[in-house]
Amino acid sequence: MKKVLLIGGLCGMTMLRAASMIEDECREKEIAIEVKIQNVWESPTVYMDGLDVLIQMMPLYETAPCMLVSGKPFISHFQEKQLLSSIVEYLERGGEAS
Amino acid sequence: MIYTDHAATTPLDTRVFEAMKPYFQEQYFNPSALYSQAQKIRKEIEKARSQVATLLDADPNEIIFTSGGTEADNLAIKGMAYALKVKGKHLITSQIEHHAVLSSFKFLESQGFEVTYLPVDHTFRVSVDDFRRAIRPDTILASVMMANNETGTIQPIQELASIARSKEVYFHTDAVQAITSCKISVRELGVDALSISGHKIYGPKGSGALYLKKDTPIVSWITGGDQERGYRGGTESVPNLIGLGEASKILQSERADRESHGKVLRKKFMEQLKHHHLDFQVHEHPTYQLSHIVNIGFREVESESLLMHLMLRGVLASLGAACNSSSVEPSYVLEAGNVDRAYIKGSVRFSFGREISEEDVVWIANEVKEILELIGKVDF
Repeated sequence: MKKVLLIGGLCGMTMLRAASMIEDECREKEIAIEVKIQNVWESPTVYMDGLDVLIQMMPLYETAPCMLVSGKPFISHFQEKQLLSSIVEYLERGGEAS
Repeated sequence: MIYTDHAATTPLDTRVFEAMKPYFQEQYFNPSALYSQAQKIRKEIEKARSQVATLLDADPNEIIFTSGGTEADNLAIKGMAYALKVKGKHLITSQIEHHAVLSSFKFLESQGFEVTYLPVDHTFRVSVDDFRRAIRPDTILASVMMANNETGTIQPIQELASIARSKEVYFHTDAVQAITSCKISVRELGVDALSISGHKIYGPKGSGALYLKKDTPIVSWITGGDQERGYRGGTESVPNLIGLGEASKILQSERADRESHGKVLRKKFMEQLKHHHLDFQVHEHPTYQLSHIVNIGFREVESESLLMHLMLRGVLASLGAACNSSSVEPSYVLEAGNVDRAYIKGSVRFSFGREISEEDVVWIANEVKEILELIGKVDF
């Protein structure tokens, strides 16, 4: 089971949409996945253990013990598909960078 | 924790809380009842009314208690517009009013009134000439806020009210933010109605008041009993009104100190930010400015990220208007002031209170510098 966490604040609907898109893509590729979202205003502490991908919707972390991704394309819709593909491909490869 | 969001709300003053306490459990009687226990509470409410009236330089009979600033704005704008509609249906307000005012005008538009929304300049001030030109023969009411809640710019209310009076247009001002650090005399301002809120002045949430000049036409918006001389039905929230009175009394005696303290903090904070050579601009009026509000735009910075990092370091600030903070849309106030978009999205409002020290603001400025450096390193 691959684990993806989206963290953000005011962009709650955007996170829900992004999570849904990732789940749909992974289902198509038959990748077992758990996608969660976290509003960091409500819960500021982010637990990264066991995560495969951390997507941040605003600049919070410089590094993470997993793939760290800017979620900006999900907000601007610019290069959104490319981002989605790169996340799914990464998960498909078993969480290893190409 | 350092709380720098006093424009959103203030902590309840201990003295205010002590004054309110007996009215929760011991003195719970309905002030409209006939028995002496209730009459005693009636007298205390009237004392609170006098305290609010003294703060505003008004007559106690000109004070209507409400549940807060929003209700006071609604009562004034909708109530006066409906009372005056036989004379005309044109209304005037500004583009940068609080939502309590803007929503009232939007409602009136849906009811057949016509509204002119005055623009502001880059210092967020309404032009007196624009206001004069906007008045038409069928204009009945104007409402311009005394000071803006996002930027702290103070409007030329005395001049606007004078022009309105000369054209027989009634004038309301939302002074919810201004009351915190401006000395207000409704007589000197020449307004017909003025709104204030308790929780912005270290009083309780759920308390507010509308000053309504004697003989000003208005229709009640909350009907029920004869409380508040029939202008606002419903059993009085006694503890809150006692609290509002006490907070008004304290503000009356401490306002000058609070204002000068705000000025010192503001100056120190700016100096420190400049010292760090940060790329920012201040959204303000150089002269007509509330001392406790500092709205700063940091160039090409995600303000939500800055605020989040500040919160993690124990500093609580705001994106702008608290009522607007559930939206990621740019601030309509900053947009009305034609602020460069590169600075709008990085705008943060700090609003200082009496419990903040100079050391605190120096520390906050240092934290801002560190956070901006950190954010700059994040690949986003």
